[in-house]
Amino acid sequence: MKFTLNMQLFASKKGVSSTKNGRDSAGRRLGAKKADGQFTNCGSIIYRQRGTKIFPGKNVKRGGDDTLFATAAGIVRYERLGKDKKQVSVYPVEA
Amino acid sequence: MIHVRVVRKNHLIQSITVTGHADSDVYGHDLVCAIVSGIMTGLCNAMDVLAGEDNMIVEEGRIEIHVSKPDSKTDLILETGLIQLKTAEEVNQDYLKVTEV
Repeated sequence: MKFTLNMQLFASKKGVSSTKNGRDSAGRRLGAKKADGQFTNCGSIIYRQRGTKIFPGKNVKRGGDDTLFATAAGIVRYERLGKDKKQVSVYPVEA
Repeated sequence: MIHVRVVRKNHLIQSITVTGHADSDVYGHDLVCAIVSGIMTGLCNAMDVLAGEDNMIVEEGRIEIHVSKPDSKTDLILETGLIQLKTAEEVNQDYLKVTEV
């Protein structure tokens, strides 16, 4: 035959296949909100996290979403906890 | 959308022009494109073998058949192809449109 059949003669852009990916949620802005040696008030957030990357130390408690917050005003200290863990404590400043 | 344009002269089909992209699926899976490609390529070969007509263009996204001297034989061949295209159009109206001028 004079003309050979190309079954995709009227198809659009070659090799372009659609993907089912391409979605992502907004960033959760996790991480430290107070630095080591920084003064913090009672109740303010020190560290946002998922799970316990950092454990609560003295005068620090863990919220429902694992957020660490101060239970007393004072200076923030990041410390080691055991062999391979970290904790954060708040040490009140003597007046 | 694939556009099929049929031009008649004294009721006989003088030319059939098919242009566009079906975009009904990705390349290699586009069934509407496959239908139209099959019908039109077959029609071009039929016109070549049965009617000795060679005024045709076959390229990506475009097929044109022009009949220098339309007669009952060429018309029967092209009408057959046109009916096949309309049959495909019935169930693919989002991707294929046949117009007669």
